[in-house]
Amino acid sequence: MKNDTFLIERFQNGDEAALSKLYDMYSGAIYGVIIRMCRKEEIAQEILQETFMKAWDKSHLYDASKGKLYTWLYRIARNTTLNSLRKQDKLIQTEDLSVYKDEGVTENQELHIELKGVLAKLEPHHQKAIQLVYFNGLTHREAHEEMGVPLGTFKSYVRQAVEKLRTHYSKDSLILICIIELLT
Amino acid sequence: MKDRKTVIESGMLEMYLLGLLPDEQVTVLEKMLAEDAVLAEKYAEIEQDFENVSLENAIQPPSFIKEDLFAAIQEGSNVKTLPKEEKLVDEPKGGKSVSLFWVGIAAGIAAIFMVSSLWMFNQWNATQNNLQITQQELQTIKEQIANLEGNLKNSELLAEVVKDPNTLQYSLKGNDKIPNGFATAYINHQDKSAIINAQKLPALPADKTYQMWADVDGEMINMGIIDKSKDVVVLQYIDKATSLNITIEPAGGSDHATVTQLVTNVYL
Repeated sequence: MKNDTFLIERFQNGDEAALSKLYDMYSGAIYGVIIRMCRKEEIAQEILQETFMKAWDKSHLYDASKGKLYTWLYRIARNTTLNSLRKQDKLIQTEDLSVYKDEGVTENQELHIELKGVLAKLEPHHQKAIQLVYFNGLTHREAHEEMGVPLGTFKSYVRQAVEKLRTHYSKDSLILICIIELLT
Repeated sequence: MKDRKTVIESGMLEMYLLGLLPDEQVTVLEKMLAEDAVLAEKYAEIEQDFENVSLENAIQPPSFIKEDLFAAIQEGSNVKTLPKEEKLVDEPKGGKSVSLFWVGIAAGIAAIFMVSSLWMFNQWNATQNNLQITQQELQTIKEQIANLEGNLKNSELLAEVVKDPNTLQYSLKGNDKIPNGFATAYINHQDKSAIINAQKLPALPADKTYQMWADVDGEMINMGIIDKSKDVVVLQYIDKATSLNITIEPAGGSDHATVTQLVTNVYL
C-alpha cells in the first residue's frame, strides 16, 4: 500500500515510469471493462489509450482521500466509453433517418465476453445486475428495464450481489491469511 | 443527513463508485466518508471488491497501445496512431511502424532496382566488349579457315599429284648460294602438270623472289614465280624440258633467267 502511494505520487508528479507501471497494473482490468461496454476491439483500443491519456493529463485531479486510483481510472474509462458510444449513435442517426435503438447485447457482430472469477460464481440475476451497471455502463433505470424488473428490485439485486462479492473475497482473504500464518 | 445504515442500504456507495450519483449527493456522501471511518471502510471494501472483479475479468490489450500512448505523451500531443483494423490477438503493430514498414519496403525495392540497373549496365558493357572480342576472334578464325582451306587444297593437290603413278618426283638440292635449301618438283607428263614444294627453300629479302625455269634446247623457259607463302606452288608445264632450274630474281620475276643467280637444278 505504501509502495502504491509512492507510485501514485510519482505518477501525479509526471513520472512516466510510474505511468508505465500503473498501465501495466491496470490496463488489462480497464480494457476488460471497456471492451465489454463497447464490444468492438478497435474502438476499445482507442478508448483505452484515450483513458490513460486523460488520466495522465488530469492526474493532479486525483484525490487519494476520496477513493482508490483504480476506481478513478474506471470512472474515466466508463465516461469516455459512453461518450464514444453516444457519438456513434449520433452518426448512425445522421446516416439513417430512422430512429436508432441500441440493440446492445443482441448485435451479432459485436463481441460477447464471458464473465470470470467470483462474479461468474454468483447467481445469474446477481451476475446480470453487476454486469449491466459495471461492465455495460447502464444506469440503474436503464438496467432494471433491461432485466425487466422494478427499479427497487434491481437495486436490491445490486446490493445483494455486492454483499455476495464481499463474502467471497473476504473468505478468500481469510484463507490466504491462514496460509500465510501457517507458512510463517 | 442520512445515517450510515441508510447510505449503505440505499446503494449510494455503489452508485458513487460507478459515478452515477448526482452531484449534490456526491458532496454529501464525500463529507460523510471523510467523517465516518466505518462508512469509509465499507466503501473501501466495495472499491476493492470491484477492483478484484475487474482484475479477474481483465483482458490484456495489444502492446502497441502502450507504445502509442507513450509516443503521444512524449510528443506532447494526443495524436492517435491506432490502426483501425487491428485485431485483439494480433501482434503489436502501430501506425508509425506500419508506415515505416512500407517506407522500408519502398526503399528496399528502389535500392534493388538501382543495384539491378547498375548490374545490367555493367553486364551490357561487358557484353559489348565480349561481342567485339568475339567478332575479332571470328575474323581470325575465318582467316585461319581460309588458310586451312588453301593448305587443304594444296595438300589435296599434292596428294593427288603424288599418288598418280604417272607423276615423277625430282629433288632440287640447293647449291652454295642456298646450301641448306631444298625443293621437290612433281612433273606429270600425262596430265602436263607441274607443281613444286618449295617449303625448304630459305626465305629471301622482300625485293627478291625464286623463279623456276625449264631448259628446252638450251633456252630457259619461264615456268613461274615460286610464291614462298605457299607450301605447294603450281607452275606452268613446259613440254620437252630437259632440266628444271631455280634462280633468284628481282621481286615480280624476270623475263629471262639470271643464270648467275641459279640456286638449284635437276635433270629430267
